[in-house]
Amino acid sequence: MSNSAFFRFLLLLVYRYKSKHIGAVLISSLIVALLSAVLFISASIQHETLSSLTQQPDFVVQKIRGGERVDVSLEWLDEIREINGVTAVTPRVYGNYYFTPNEEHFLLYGVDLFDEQSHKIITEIVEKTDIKGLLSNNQMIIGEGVRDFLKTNYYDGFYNFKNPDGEIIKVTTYGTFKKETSIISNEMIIMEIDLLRSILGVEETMLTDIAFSVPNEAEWDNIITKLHLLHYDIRVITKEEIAKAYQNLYNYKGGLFLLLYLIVILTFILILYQRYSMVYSSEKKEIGILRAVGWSIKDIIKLKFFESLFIALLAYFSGVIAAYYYVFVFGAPLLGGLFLGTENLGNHIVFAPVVDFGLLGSIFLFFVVPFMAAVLIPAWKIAVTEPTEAMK
Amino acid sequence: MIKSFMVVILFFVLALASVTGHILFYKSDEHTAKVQALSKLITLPTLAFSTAYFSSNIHHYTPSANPAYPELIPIDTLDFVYVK
Repeated sequence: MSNSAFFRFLLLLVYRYKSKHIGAVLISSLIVALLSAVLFISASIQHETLSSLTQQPDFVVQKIRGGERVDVSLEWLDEIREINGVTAVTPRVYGNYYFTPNEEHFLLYGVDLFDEQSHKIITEIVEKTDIKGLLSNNQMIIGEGVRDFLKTNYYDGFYNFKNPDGEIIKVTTYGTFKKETSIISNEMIIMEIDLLRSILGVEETMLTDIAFSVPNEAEWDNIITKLHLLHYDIRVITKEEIAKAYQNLYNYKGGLFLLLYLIVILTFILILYQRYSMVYSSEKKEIGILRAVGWSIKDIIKLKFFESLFIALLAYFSGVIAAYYYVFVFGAPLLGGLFLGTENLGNHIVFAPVVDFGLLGSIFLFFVVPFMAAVLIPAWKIAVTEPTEAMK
Repeated sequence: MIKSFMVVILFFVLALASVTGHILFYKSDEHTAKVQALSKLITLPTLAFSTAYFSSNIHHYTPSANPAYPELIPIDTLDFVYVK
């Protein structure tokens, strides 16, 4: 049989029995879409986390008392600056602000708005272009999650913070962070560092913690030892530890889904195997006729191979394309929450498209190979029976 | 019959083309640059995890005893003796 006639017959067969395949295609697509979506989300978040970590300081020093972080003295800044090899020593003031009625919280971060570098960065990440307005009194820049939260709670354009002394400090909203930064900025509010001190009740001589970098990696252990000699009650967090913590978190969550996927795919393949065994038993006569008119076992296996390959590819591509749209175009509603949490403000994350073709290849192998085996084995069992027996 | 297959194939080609177009024309560099700029400004590694008030945004990293069971900490861990 010529190739064109063979493929015409194949298409005819698929078309004739389309109702037989439609269920398998739909369920397979759903399984592939679910797994691909989880892996897309995981890959995208990991990519963004690791790329943002490149801009982070190498070390963070915190003062610990009773296992909890407490504020550090401003004098520590000079002590750290005096250590040889240390650069970019940054004082940080930040903290969570609890909104009691809804049991939600925001992350407040203090920035030196008069610093030229900070100024330049703000123009890149805030929707507004007129940056001069930010320097006027009591202004803040908020994330998208905070903006929506304040709007629904009747604080459109401002918020009345209460400091530890019970005084109300009204801060007006200068602008919102750009959508692309929402993976970091969703529940964040930044404002002038002194304004934040008055809201959180941090004294002028105190800081939340200190960040710094050490360009020479060979010096890292030495610097940590020096810090411990300066102060015994400290915790030094390295950038590497944070990167590993994030990697572990997403590999763990992604791996858990992969495990669930394997269980689901095995169950599905088993069902598929039994279903196709039944279907091919009813098609026994048809296969017998093909054998009687001169088709070899190889021809019949070839026919069933291409038939199942067509179905598997259809399901695989539908699943992957649907997952891509779901994650990178629609922002992965519901599933995104599994990775980013749903206990505080609503997330408005824009996932940057990160497509790992190695990963897609693995999904292809994990799906297409068992799928075809489940279809071809029953077909082979029928094809090897004698045509005279099959026609009975 | 062939016509309906052509419609299916055409649909898939268009869908794949739109996905490829989205990947190619999405300004990934700009996206990453904005995230990096904010990261540089705040120097905080925390992602916007929507977690409860008392739970930590990022958990302290402890090397696992076995990569297959990352939740299991090494048997000689002394965190409970020496506060990190």
